[in-house]
Amino acid sequence: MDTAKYAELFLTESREHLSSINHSLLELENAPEGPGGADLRASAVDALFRGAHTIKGMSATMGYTAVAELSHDFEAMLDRIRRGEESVTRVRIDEMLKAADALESAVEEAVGGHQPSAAPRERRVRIELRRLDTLMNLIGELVITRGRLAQLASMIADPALEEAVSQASRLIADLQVEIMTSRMVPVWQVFDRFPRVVRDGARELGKEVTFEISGKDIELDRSMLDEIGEPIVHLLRNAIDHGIESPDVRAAAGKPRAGRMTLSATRDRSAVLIRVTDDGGGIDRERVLRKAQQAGLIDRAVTSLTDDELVRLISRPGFSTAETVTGISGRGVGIDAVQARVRALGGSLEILTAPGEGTTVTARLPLTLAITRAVLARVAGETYAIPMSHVDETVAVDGARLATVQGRPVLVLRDTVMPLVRLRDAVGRQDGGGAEQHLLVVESAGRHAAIAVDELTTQQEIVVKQFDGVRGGLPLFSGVTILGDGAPALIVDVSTLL
Amino acid sequence: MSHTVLICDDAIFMRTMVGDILQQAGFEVIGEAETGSQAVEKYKELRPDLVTMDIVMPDMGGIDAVREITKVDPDAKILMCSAMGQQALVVEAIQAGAKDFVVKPFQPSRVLEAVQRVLG
Repeated sequence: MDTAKYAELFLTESREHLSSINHSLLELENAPEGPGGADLRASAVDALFRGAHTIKGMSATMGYTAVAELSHDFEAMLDRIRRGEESVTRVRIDEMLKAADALESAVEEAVGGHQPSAAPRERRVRIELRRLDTLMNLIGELVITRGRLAQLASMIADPALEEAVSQASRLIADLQVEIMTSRMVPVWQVFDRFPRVVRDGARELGKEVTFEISGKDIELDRSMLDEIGEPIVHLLRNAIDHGIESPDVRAAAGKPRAGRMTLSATRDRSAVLIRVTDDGGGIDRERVLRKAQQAGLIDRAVTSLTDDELVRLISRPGFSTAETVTGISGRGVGIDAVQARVRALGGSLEILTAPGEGTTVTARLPLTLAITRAVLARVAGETYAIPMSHVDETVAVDGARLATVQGRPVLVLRDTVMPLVRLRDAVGRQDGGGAEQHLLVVESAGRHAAIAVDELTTQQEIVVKQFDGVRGGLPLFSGVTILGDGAPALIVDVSTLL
Repeated sequence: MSHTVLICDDAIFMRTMVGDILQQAGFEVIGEAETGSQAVEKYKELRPDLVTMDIVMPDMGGIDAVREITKVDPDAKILMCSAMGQQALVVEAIQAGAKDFVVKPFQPSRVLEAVQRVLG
């Protein structure tokens, strides 16, 4: 067992126990003599015994024999006192204080010995996640206030004020980075249990699978990592169950008997990509087609699905749980559930699948939860926010190549044809047609579209507030943000427009 | 379906270590307790498939906790975690209802073997 990664925890814990050992020894020393102080002395001795016992256990586990031996002697002494075989005297207490000091030195040396002498030892503190959440909320509010200050400063146009606001803005930006960083944890904390999940799943289903994980040290926001664990398990089980073929089938197809699965975490600009791949048979198009037809989503006359349609169907909320007449129930692909969870985290899912070759599912997650960059655009007098992570470029309407394909408006951009969506229509405003001057080229799950808006205001950071519940609202919006001037701007969920 | 486990030890270090060993073997840690009385409460609340119980804990000790839990559920599957030299206490723990024991410092293979024995 690799105990090196517990060294930090051992050190923190031992220091705490040593501190309370010292505390208890002083309590013992100050306890009144005679029967009056009996209870106090007994509880102090108990606490001392447990402290020494715990350090003994921890150090033995870590292989720090010097510490284990010292703490064993200490524990033995306390045990004798506990059982009344020895009494507590001034001299004894002095001895114990010295023993505690010796133990402390031994602990520091044991751990210190594992560090290269050149590297300064990192000091850590434990902090409740709740406090980090509070800090996150506060920095969120501060970011909004910063926007307001900047706006006011530019209106008042006082150079001294502008200078101060500019400085405050920089400090707030730095503070934001520090707080976000303090919430980051390496993904191996959750990834480490997956090899077993894959092994058990493969055994259970009679498949042979090799599994590789890479990018274990990539860091994610702690809450994000907690949330993404279950969806990943879902994807892994999916791959083993529906993706990887049984060894005989694979051999017959000229593939190695054992399927190959990988899980990787990589950084891509301001996102983390978590990718699950398998070299199985690809998503079963026949089954998806049948299910979609039974659910009335696809015409019965259709005999095959394009890649696009396939991905879109399985990503539909509730697709895998849709009951079907012939009872292809419960064994649906389940990717819709993963999609929902990833979207809720502010991310997006991309699925690539090829028959006979395998499937790759990539979840793109923002590094930070609540603060994101967005393009602000105005439509019919209202401001909307479109997350930058989905925006590829902007194109002026004037001079853009527009056309109609199968009765639908499209934008022709270089060698791509993409649907044109008027945000005005999407939000249900009938008035002011023709006022659009800009097109936002957006992308989601590998598909593109051009969104027509009246004007583009600016690009800035916004604090995302989730909706508590949709009261007669459109699924078009994923949240709302408060702008610098105090007005709300609805955040457009790009994937619902595509 | 993975088995669920409740880990009882007053030291975070130990809980972390046992938790990691069990998680990597596919178990789901559904709760932790720092004292014997917390262990009993959490057992009643969570009804785990397995419990790992340290002997030495403040408030209520591990053996008393085993006794209380076994009253509530005679089939409770409790694995005792003892330090070297605590044989007499281990015997007492088994008499109180624990199914098996492992000795600290933990060796992952030993822990998993004992867990398999307890789960039957």
